[in-house]
Amino acid sequence: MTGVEMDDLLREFGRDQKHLTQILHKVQAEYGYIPPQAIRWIARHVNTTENEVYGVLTFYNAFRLRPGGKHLVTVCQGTSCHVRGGARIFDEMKKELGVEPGETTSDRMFTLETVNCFGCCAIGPTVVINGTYFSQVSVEDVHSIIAEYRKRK
Amino acid sequence: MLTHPSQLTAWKARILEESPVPKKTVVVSNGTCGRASGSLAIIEAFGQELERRDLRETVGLEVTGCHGFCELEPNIVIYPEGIYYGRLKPEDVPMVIEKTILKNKVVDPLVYADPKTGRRYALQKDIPFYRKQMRLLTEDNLRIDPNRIDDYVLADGYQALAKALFDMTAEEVIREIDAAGLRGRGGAGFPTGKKWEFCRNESADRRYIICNADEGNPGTYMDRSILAANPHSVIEGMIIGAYAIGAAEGYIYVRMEAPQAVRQVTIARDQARKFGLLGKSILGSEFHFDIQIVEGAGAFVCGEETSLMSSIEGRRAVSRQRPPFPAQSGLWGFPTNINNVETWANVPLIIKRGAEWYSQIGTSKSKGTKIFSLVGKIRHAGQVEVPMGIKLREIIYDIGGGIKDGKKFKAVQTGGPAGGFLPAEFLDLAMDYDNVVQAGSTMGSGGMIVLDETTCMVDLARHYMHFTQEESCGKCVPCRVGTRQMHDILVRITRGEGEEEDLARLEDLGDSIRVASLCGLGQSAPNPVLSTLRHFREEYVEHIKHKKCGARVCKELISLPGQEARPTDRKAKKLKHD
Amino acid sequence: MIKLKINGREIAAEPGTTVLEAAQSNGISIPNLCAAKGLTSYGGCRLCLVEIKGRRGYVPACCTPVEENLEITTETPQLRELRRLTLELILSEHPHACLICSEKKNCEEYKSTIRKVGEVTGCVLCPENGQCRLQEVVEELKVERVRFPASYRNFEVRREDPFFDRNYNLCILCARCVRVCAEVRGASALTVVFRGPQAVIGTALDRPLLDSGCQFCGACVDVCPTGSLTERALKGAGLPDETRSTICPLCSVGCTLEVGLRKGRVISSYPKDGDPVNSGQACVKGRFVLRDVIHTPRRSLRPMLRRHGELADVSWDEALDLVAQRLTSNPERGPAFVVSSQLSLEDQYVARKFALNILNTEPVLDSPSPSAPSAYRAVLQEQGISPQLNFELASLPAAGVILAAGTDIALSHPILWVNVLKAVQRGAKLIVWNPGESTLDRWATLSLRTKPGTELAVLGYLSRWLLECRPKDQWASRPGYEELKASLEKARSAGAISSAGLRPEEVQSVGRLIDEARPAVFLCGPGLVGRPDAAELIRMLWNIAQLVEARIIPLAAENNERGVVELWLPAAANGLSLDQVVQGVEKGRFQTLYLAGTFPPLGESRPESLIVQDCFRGANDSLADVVLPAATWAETEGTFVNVEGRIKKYKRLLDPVAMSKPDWWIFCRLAEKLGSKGFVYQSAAEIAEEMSKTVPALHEASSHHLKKSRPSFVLEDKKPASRFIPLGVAGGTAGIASETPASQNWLDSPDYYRGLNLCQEVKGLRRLREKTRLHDRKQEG
Repeated sequence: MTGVEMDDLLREFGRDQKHLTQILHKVQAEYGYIPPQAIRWIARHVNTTENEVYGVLTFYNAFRLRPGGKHLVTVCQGTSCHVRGGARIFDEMKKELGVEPGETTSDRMFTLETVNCFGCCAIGPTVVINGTYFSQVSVEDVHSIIAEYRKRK
Repeated sequence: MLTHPSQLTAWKARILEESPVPKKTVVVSNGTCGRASGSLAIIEAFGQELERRDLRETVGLEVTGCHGFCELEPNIVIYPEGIYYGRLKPEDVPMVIEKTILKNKVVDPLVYADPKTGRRYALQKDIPFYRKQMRLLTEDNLRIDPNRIDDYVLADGYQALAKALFDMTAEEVIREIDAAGLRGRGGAGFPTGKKWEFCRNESADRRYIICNADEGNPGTYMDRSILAANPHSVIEGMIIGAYAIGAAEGYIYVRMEAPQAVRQVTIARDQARKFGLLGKSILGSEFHFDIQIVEGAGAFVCGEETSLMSSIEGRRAVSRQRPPFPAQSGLWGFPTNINNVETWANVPLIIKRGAEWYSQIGTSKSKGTKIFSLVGKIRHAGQVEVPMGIKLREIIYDIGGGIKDGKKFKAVQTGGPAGGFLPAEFLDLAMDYDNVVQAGSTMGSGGMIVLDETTCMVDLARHYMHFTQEESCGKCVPCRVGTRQMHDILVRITRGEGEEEDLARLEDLGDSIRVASLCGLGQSAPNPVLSTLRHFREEYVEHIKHKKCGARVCKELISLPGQEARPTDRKAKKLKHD
Repeated sequence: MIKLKINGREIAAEPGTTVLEAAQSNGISIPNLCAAKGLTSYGGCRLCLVEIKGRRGYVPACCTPVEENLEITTETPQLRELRRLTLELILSEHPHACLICSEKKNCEEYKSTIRKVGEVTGCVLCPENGQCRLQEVVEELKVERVRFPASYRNFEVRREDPFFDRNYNLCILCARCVRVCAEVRGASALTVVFRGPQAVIGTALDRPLLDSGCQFCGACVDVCPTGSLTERALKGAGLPDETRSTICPLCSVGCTLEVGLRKGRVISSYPKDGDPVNSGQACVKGRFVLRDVIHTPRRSLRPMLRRHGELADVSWDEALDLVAQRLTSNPERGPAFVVSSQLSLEDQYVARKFALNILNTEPVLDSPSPSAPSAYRAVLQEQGISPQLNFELASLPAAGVILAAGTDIALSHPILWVNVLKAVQRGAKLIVWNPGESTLDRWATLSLRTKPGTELAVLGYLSRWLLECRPKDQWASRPGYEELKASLEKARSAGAISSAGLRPEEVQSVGRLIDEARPAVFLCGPGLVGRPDAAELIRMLWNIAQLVEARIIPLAAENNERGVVELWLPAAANGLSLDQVVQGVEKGRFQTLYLAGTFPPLGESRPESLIVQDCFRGANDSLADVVLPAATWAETEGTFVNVEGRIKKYKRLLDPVAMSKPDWWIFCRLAEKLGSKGFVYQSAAEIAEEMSKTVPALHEASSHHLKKSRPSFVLEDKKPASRFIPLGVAGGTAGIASETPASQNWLDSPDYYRGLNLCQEVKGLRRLREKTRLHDRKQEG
């Protein structure tokens, strides 16, 4: 990642701290994560220190500093999903992937995250993989869905 | 580009003239739940089938936002009759076209049948789920494609704006909102008119307005549904509000977990700009106002006003002490008015039809309708819009169809992590802001999570505490440290390691955290725990004294294998979501 | 004043203060941990919650502004209980065994549970023990038990940075450190990272502070209420026996420092709260390096004579006898006498009197580079103008626009920067003009970066633009206006601005700002005033300042440079410059070289007699015939004049080390040995008295004057002429042109005290300077 790349990426944003979260979204959309080297360019663009940028990006769940796995598996931890059996689904998913939330499987295929409500409360428990929504997920579904993604490679 | 209000009415007239009304129209519900349930496949199936039969000219295919009956999605409504078919599958489409569209006959298996009585209702308006609602804000969802501003104009969109800008002064607008009795729909229920007035009266070079679409309460999704289904209603409300308050810049802060809402409101905002409804000289008036859309980044605390403003400013979204209130000192120190999505959506309604009409709806102190997210162990989960003052029983049983799977009503959780529980003794409560508070809970943003005997209240309390711990901003001691202590106690109790003194500890801690925390998140964090302690103390005692979990949820306390509460048996639906 | 009631008592409070501040200034104590003077309110610890009549619930006193007729209750049983619970929550995450131990008063005697654990598990092992705000609050609230299970976060203690450690196991997340670093110092080296229970204080990517923009000013260490941030050198040092005040000699700001002494040694050095110059702030040198200056093993301890090729210890008498003899042995090839510019006014006054009256030789200052105030004054005095040099740091925050040229004051004059930052925070515009990147750029409204040597072109363009595009009637009536216009026309050259690397709009923006956002202040550092063409630059700058009614402040670098300006004439006027002495020594012009100041290492061409007088041993000792151990400023009384022109007296901190003596004493004894009766001063105060009578500018340096309540400043013309001065005048470099272009010093801070190079002496300072080293910084163009 070069300065020129970053300049191009950040061009649309004014040089003000109020654009920081939107800039971080864009950088993450581009690279899949926030490359540590990018922090310097971002800090310069919004005219603050790297420490400030880091303080902001670590505050939010959205941003990660390491590349994720091929598939981002997000399990809903909202209350409606919880009372509809979401905790079991979450445990099952952790067992199936063998990682804790925030971690990536050793074959770099899956990253497990949680979210505190997708808004599919009426049809939970909900799991979202790479933007694809799975609703009313059962324990068996956890295995079959992951198996399906494993096949895709 | 509209440069005069008369052009609005002309536009509507032109739409009516130029668009031929097809003989039949199929309207597909395509909100988040719809898509997650497979609505896109239905749309594709209809498209293909209508093409194949060469019916595209005579049969309209409309894609709208959420119709509200989420449990039965994907669903369609066929006009002009208004026939409702739910739980549709792509293979049903040919039959629907064959029988209903071409032969005007109803497809029986697809008709809604009341699970209790067995009675069938073919028309959407007759279905009990809909019949008891008062869908002032949400009925238009059935007619509006959120990508088409024409649909909104056809539904008399932006007429209220024209009236406000040209027939009313800013003060008159505020008075109208005040007289209507509109109260903030985000949870605090503060009188909206007064809030606007405070902001307007604060002298400053500039003011801001914000639409709080962070909607972090788990179990609630009506705000994102409004934004995804009828974004112009919110935009129109904001423009009117900005005019009343004297703001030139507005922000819509949408949580990133609602990508469809972000997308649709951005499209609508861009369209509004294109047509001179946002920007300089709106509708040819002297009023300038524009809206910026900011996406959240995964922090529930951003639903709190001061934290939200910190987030818009591009900083760590920690909360700030109030006073000063946002109306005095908000974004970058300027007076700022923040309202919830549903509140803004009510504004055009009030201006269009008048405060007097509006104030007839609801109770003496809570006017208008409220959209509730009716979810959990309810038979018919979805979005329900009802007049304030409706009885809880009516919502649960008449609209919601009662408890799923033949179970018993245990309680309804309202107000999310800041709220409490209303057990069976409150089924006859008239739902309005003050009654719910008096009953020991809060209305919150309208979440209603229905619970039955398979819900462990202790586990649920622990779940809420865990949520608070994850979402606490970390600035103040009572919330950051205190809720962890509460959480640890609850974990012990659910593991069978509870002690007698734990209940007193929880209450002491809970009471202290409520008064000592810096912001609403901490101040209300103990509420679910205190509420369950009040109404379901015996469950706690059972966990502690007898090491038993009656609902069979707490893993360590379940003695026999295979007796865990099973999640629903339905097979997962999987469909593409762009 | 605003009237309100606290606990039924009527009190008056300053408008704009908080309830907490109002209570504190009226002797009412409200427990608090996250509030700190000079920082914005935080409201995080929740200990200062109070009741206010008519307001729901409790409000934090630190966040509540005073209002007329408020009725506040600070103590109720419920509040007390609530505070205890809150404090216990804090303690549950902070090792609290000692804090609530029933034996804590007797612990020193018994110490029955101490083990060598290397971690802070209780107060007894904590460097802050006895100086800890948390301990105070626990005492105040009388917490005797913690009802919550303890949790130790188990962070690794951060020891990789110089000067202080960071132990976040003790941190209570009051964020004082974050706030002081961002709000007062403008560095934002520390921030809160993550959120909720994971929140911790840290830096980007958890780097060491050295890599995070920290300047090690120590403000965070001073403001931390626990032992989380502690100075390494103080660990195990114990509490000081006594505290004394001194003035820091390591730059021209002259901070007042509170120095802790234990058994006659300096152990600690803190900035003085409320001081009119540095008000509770310091920099890395005054805060962490001071003790090394005084107690370095390099101290010169005893007078020495060279006998049979070796230096041997002798008595003062013997040493001074030989010196006296050597100084007068050959009147034709007289002695060269070099004096340190960092000496006190008294030392320098006596040195000059000695050199001029007894040795009949002009003394020479040891500073090689031109002094900014000296150059500035010389150029203007040539035009018959006595410019104002005095100013007050505390007036800077009121400026509307500040131009910082040829300097990075955040590095060279940190306390100056603290005041400029205040101005910027209040909306002042900052224009930064340097040959390269500087820490100020982040705050600059306009940042100009030009190639060295193009400054004249820029100022010329700016002057012409102001005259042409912003004419004002009042200019025409001022003397010199027509000549100025004419000489600017003549100096016009096409493409001058682009050769500097600027666009015309950039310079025009500067012009607009300095004209509109008044009052304007021009801070001129060595990068501008140290240049070979400085004379013309100064004239141009003066004229521009007259056009926009700006104040020019040439920045002195050293602790007594401003005093030197009053005591010494510019070297080239009559007498020698240091360069000339160096050359003279090489050519064998001098019989004797008396070095009471620093001098480049002498090679083969050393004079017959070499006398070295310094606090520290140095390279020239190996060639010296006599070594005289001087006492540091800390071991005697004296006076410095700081960059403001403020006359600051300091008292002795400790007795002179070993056999060292104050410089003034050495010169006086020498004078006596040479038969003079005019050097019978018994104390530095007596010297100051005479000096105040014989040097009119230093009239307020007498002790008599300093007893008055108003501060003492150098006397100068309060209403200097405001006419324009002609440009392009030949000559008049007035000794400011130097062989060594000082323009690369624009980032420097004097990291030396006499012969002691602080970077060589203190590894931490060396590491810091390497990170921010100005000379190595990439210069554009």
